[in-house]
Amino acid sequence: MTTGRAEPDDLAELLGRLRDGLLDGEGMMQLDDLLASDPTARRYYLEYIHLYAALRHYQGVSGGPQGLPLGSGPGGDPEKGRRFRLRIIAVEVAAAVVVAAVLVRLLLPGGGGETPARGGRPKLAQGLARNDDRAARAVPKPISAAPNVAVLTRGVDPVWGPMKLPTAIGSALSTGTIVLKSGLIQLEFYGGAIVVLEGPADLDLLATDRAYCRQGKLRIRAPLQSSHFSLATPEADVVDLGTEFGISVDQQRGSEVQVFEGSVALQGNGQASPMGRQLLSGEGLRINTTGASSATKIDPRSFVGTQELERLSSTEAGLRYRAWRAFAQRIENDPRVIAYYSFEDQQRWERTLRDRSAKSGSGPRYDGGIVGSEWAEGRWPQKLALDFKRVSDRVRINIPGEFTTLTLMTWVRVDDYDHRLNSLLLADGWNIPGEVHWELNGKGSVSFALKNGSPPGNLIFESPVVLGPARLGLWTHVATVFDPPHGSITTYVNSRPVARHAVQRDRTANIGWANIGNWSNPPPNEPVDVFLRNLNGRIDEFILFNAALDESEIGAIYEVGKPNL
Amino acid sequence: MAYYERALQRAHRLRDASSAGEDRDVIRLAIPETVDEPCHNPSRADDERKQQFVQLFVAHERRIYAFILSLVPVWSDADDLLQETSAVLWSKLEEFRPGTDFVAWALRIARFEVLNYRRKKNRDRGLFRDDTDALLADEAAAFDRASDDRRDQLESCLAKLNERDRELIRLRYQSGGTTQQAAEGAGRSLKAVYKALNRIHQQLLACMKKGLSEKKQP
Repeated sequence: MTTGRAEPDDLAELLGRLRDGLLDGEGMMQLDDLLASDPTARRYYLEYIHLYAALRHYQGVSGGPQGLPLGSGPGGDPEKGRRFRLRIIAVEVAAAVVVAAVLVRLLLPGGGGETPARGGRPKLAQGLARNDDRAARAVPKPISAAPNVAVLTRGVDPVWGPMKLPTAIGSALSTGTIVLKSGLIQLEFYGGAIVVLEGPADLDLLATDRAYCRQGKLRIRAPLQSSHFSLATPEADVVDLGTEFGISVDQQRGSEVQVFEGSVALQGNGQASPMGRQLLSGEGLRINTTGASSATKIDPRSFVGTQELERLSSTEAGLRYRAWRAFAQRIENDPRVIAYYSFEDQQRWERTLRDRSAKSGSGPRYDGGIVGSEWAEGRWPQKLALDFKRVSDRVRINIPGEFTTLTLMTWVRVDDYDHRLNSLLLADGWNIPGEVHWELNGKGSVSFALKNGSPPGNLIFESPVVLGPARLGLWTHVATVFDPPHGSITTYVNSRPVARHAVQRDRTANIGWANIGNWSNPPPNEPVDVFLRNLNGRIDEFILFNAALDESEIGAIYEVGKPNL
Repeated sequence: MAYYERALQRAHRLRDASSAGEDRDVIRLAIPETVDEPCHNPSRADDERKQQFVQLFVAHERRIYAFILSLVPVWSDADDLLQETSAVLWSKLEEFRPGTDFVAWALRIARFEVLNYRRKKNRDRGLFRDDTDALLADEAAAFDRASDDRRDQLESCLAKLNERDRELIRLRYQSGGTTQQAAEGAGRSLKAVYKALNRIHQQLLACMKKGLSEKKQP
């Protein structure tokens, strides 16, 4: 056993820097390595963090110096310690009552009286801030409670059967049925259990800690702090007691449970079933469809776990990435491409976003200038993207010409809507007839706008809400086709047409100086809430065509580029 | 290239299948939206329950915060996560059964908020890797159980510090304090105060460890 004093110096130094907010990326990586490999380091780290949290909490709650557990009197007096403690408790109770009163007033409709529930918060918060800054900011804000129970976090070659639940990786899943014809997926239940499901499988999500499996192979890891996860099958109910176990359910062969770690409680359904028995680590049990049971040997390798899945999904990501790379060459050589930003083959220090269009011969290249944005990970771990976060982040481009048809296309991951309008591609200012503004409004509609020659009547085409809260954090393909010769403007999200508007046949569009992910030169009279339009999210592909692509072409580009199958 | 042809064919098939018999002018929403529930409108009878919740939350906030901080050791982000967690706890209050372990419930939800945050956040900066995060989450939850004992120990260890050190801790941690402010308050150099704080933290941890092990084996 090591004592506190024998902790390695570099850990103490790293934690000191962490405490004071001075730890840089490299330091963070060092700390990460240390914690990953050394349980003693992890223990010390947790002690340190808890110490920090406790000190910060005391000081916050107790306010003035007279309430501090440290006081200003001489130390070492045991009596003193006791008094400090009583005082802390008294102060905490008092603070609890104050906060409680404030919260109840904030939360009750009409309970606020002179204090409007929303607008009143800063005033109350200021009052509280003297007592406990954090408690004040932790005032719960009312949010909608969607009945989601789990998140789909990974997938390797999943082939889905007919089902209503979303299948995009990263989706939150409500109660419902998962039908997986083949492949592997990982589910993280809100209750804490992590489930790897191997198809063919049929699984009902019942609650944040409960599922029913008709068929399939599952490996379930339910850490100690998660709620007891229970899985029912036609033959048995299995409740984890802090554990990792595998279970396979087959309509002919019945259910088989194998416990790899910890223990599970098992309740058979049939008459001949073992009633309420416990299976310990290393034990396995098969219950056939008649309810008869027999001990089996465990074989952890026959159940794919989270680590194996990680490895497999990175292999899959590699395959998809390479397929997309091969496809990208076709786009480079497509004569209809005005500019193609593939966000590839660039160094992380580069501040120029390369236009990869081949433009048969010596056509102009429209490289973009990167301002502020940093390189980050794109749709796959191997893919580069630009991260747009700060108000100033943008890519400057200049694309001259007047276009009779135009297709705008991008892969974007919106992290949040910071503004009423959030830029994909915005021509500078808003005064040249035919200027294009392509953006997302704060609710999640795709908006394509053209400046008109003379007021009234700027043309603003807005889709229904298609990139709402459920799509935040997910890579999404967005394309808008400006096609006056056919009298239409159509927007596609993940290759599905989501909005089509009529447009006069003689309209043309232009871009000129513009920003990807931001806006420059807003008109001086623009109110502040529409003046800022910087995107909060990532972009990892952007294509401009001087042609109207049809649905099948957009479908093909989407199919090859989508992050998961 | 074969891949592109296959993808194209499949795309054609999908399009054909999905557009068969469909009026092309009728645009369907491609992505189902989560529908916000109408504003929660609690009755006065819920008052007591709310008060109970607030008391529980305030009483255990430190533990929830420490748990979040262990996984996201960036103070500002941990503060935001605490707020989000409190909001979710509040919205899911129906799921909490009085008499059961509030902290265990809260930590599960906090864990989930942290996972959400990790997904949204730029993974390149300021976050532990997935495997480290998983290890820490398991251990932080177990660690939390000794929380009350540790707090008692902290109080007696603070009392054992010499006055100068205790004053430094007070300066460092008083509402929103920083090491810079502590240095100014103590009239010492930033470097000296930083080093002294490192030493005092280590000293406190060693003292607590000693106290806890003595308590276990009286």
